[in-house]
Amino acid sequence: MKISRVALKNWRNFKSVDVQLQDRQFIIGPNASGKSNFLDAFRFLRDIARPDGGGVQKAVADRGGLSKLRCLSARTDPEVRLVLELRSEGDSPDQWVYEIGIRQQPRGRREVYVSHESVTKNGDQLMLRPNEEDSEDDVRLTQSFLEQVNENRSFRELATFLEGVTYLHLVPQLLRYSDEFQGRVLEADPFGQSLLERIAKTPKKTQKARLRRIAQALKSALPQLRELQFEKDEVTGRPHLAALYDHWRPNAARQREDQFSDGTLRLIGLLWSLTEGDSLLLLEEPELSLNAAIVGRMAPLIYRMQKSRKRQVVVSTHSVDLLRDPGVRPNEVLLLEPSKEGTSVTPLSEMQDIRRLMDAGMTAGEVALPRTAPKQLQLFSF
Amino acid sequence: MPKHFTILTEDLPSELVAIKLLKFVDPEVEVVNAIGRQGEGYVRSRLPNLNRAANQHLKVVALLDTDSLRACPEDLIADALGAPRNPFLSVRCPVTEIESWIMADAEALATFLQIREAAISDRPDEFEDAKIELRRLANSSPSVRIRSDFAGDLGVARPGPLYNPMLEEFLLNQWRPGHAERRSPSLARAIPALRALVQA
Repeated sequence: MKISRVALKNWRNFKSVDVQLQDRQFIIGPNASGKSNFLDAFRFLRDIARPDGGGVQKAVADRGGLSKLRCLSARTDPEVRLVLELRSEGDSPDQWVYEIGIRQQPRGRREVYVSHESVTKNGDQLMLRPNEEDSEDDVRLTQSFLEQVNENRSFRELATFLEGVTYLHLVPQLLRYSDEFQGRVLEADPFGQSLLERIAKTPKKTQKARLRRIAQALKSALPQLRELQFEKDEVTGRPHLAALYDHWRPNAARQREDQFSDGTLRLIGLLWSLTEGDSLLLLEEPELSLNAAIVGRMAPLIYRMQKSRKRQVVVSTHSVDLLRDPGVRPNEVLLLEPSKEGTSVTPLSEMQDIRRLMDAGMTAGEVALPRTAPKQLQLFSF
Repeated sequence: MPKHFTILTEDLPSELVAIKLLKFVDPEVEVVNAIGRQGEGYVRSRLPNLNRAANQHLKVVALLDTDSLRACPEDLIADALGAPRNPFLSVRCPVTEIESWIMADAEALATFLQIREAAISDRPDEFEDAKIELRRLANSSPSVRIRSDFAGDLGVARPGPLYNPMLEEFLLNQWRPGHAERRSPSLARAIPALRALVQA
């Protein structure tokens, strides 16, 4: 399943946004324009759909309450609303629309409740709330149907898709020093702390095949790499990644992940995520700590990985190098522009002059990223 | 009808000069795309693309330093474009560098560098290396900050550590195209050409 359109109302920086999404989508914008908040809309829906202790109440509470979610530019309308349009793959694709509205009681216990929830499949309405039972028992509205297996039977496919949404902002230090930290792994592991466990849990055959593909892809970045292996420490039983490097010694040298560079770890995490699962993958600034030449190959790499695994990928980035690839189409880039009335989201294909420049052979990185630079040039001249 | 412009320049000071010139020519001009900041080679490599893209609604101004007194701007431009010039694209060449145009507002520069106006040449277009001349002037300033942070060691081609940010501040707040055009013939030619492009 892929998300073909997203509409947000009063969601964080966004007062009102309605955009189409492509299979590969890049999000650019100035600092603090709402790139992460845009990605968070999808994580929010995932948090609602999670069967292991998700739900509306928790998803809202984890974000500091509804007042933190609501757009500051929204003065009169207090409702937060998210709409997703999705289509399934296959010969006769289904069109789904999921919509949820959330409000807070103005007085009393100020409880957060579902003010609207609906699902349509190919135009037929499968569910619409509040319904009669809801009006008899308004406590029911503290939960969405999306989070309840008894209620989401007719749209289970949709719930499963949202559950599978993955967010990755791999922090190499957390992975490298996981023994020392022994810390709490955040739910859904956004920072890639338990990447090794995830690799360990993959069936042997799949695991081997994926690591082989990753090593293959890594070769262009790390020419000395011969093989990537997965092993268990014989003493502690902890999972480890090992790389065999060609070396001046007759036998290749071995390194474990604690000796990998930040860049190598990030690349492995990124590539593993691309080969795992078939739900939406959200990548936050994947260019960090990577060499510009490698970042320049990332857009085609994502595209190539999508050929075999039909995974939709949404990437937030600041990198000119990432968007310098000539194959990135204008509709694959969304430009976020903040204003007093909230942040707007525009596909480059709808900006006439940028589109014309790109049609003449300029890349998105060259023509659109300068727009995200701070207007106040003296910003750093102190 | 908004007057939208795209500019192509080699670095941030040149970008500011281009924006200032366009605003001077017509305050209603809005520079919506500022492309470049990646050196002179980049400007040359992208000129053919912009030459193709330019039209009535997407006017383009590019700045390309001649870098040498012997270079002929017209050959330089024709060479970089590799095709007939699009009427909605204008390439202007500071002779020999953007610093020539900057020095041409001698009054403002004298205030900025805290030097006598008379010390500044009234023919800035005639320096083979305008940047070194600007740094030489800065080095005669009584201000330690200007000498060390802006001029830097004159023995090497690398300017002081705050050369670009200080130059940008000067361009934003003090530099005046209307004064500069009196001393720099290449700038004096550029201004009417830009005016014609705005009205085209």
